[in-house]
Amino acid sequence: MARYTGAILAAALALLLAAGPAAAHQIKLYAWVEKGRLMGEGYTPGGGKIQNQPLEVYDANGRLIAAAKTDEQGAFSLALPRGPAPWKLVLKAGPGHLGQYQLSAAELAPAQGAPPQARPPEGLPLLRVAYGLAMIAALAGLGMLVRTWLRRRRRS
Amino acid sequence: MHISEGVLSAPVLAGGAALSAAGLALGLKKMDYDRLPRVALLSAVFFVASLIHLPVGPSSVHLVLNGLVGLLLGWAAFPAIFVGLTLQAILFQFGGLTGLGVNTFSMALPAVICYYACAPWLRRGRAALLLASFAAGFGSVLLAALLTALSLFLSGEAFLTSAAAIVLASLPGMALEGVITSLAVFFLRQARPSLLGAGPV
Repeated sequence: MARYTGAILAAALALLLAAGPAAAHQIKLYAWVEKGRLMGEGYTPGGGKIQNQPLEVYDANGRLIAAAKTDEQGAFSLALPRGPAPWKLVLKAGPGHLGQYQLSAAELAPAQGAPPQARPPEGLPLLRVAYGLAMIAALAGLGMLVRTWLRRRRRS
Repeated sequence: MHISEGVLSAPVLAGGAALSAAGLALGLKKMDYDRLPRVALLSAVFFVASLIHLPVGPSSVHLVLNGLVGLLLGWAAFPAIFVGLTLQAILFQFGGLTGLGVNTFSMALPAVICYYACAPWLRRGRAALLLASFAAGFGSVLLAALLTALSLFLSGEAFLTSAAAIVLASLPGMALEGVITSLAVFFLRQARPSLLGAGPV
């Protein structure tokens, strides 16, 4: 038993470490909002174009909200996704090559035509968690009430 | 896994809502109401699991635990996950209300699949239990990532690009999910074997 747990834990740890921040070569990434689209370009430090590489957009909560690919010119253009600002753009150009760019709420605001969404409070709002758990308990209680009521009706 | 509002097209949102409604109806019909506390407990586990983000590389991972929910609930995973997601959307703006259908379906269907594929192995000794529950945890997130990529594809994104991006981004999460699910199931086997031995809820 201990053998299996050890092996599984070791495998998981290896995976987690492998996915950690590998020393990435910096590439330059710029992005802006234009005519309701998210546009940008990526370059290698030497000025070369980053062609056909995957770009990912994450919102303030670290959620992936869009994905695209650069074209032959190293540029990308995609429909403006939605999510709480600031966004983080990540361009991956092969193993170990990574470019990042932060799009602030101010850069996003004119394009979204509305004030940037309020950032959720930092940390874990315990009150809301407790509220959610209480709601689930209440729903279960409601379900049980309905069940007893149905049974009583069936009996009579 | 939680797709934000405004990313998916209207037909995809409607399709996801219809599929989730069907899953919900089936789940509620198959549910043994004497085991409602168990459904509520796992709904609470699911609700809390996604709230804790751990930073990994450029992104962050969080647990989903839809595999654990599926293993213990079967089809009742649909109502449990739907309730959890609804509360996350209302209280934490996770995913948003319009995407609720798609998100419920893409997380609850893998849970049900894992129930059929992995739950029978939970009664065949320790090694089988650990492996099957690891597979359930890992596989349910993998399937959820693929379903999410599919919903992006149907909304006009390139499938392979978004699938690769989502799967790669959640790979550490899948491994973590597998380990946690496997340990949780092992604990349940020691502490409450009846939870695993019984049929679907």
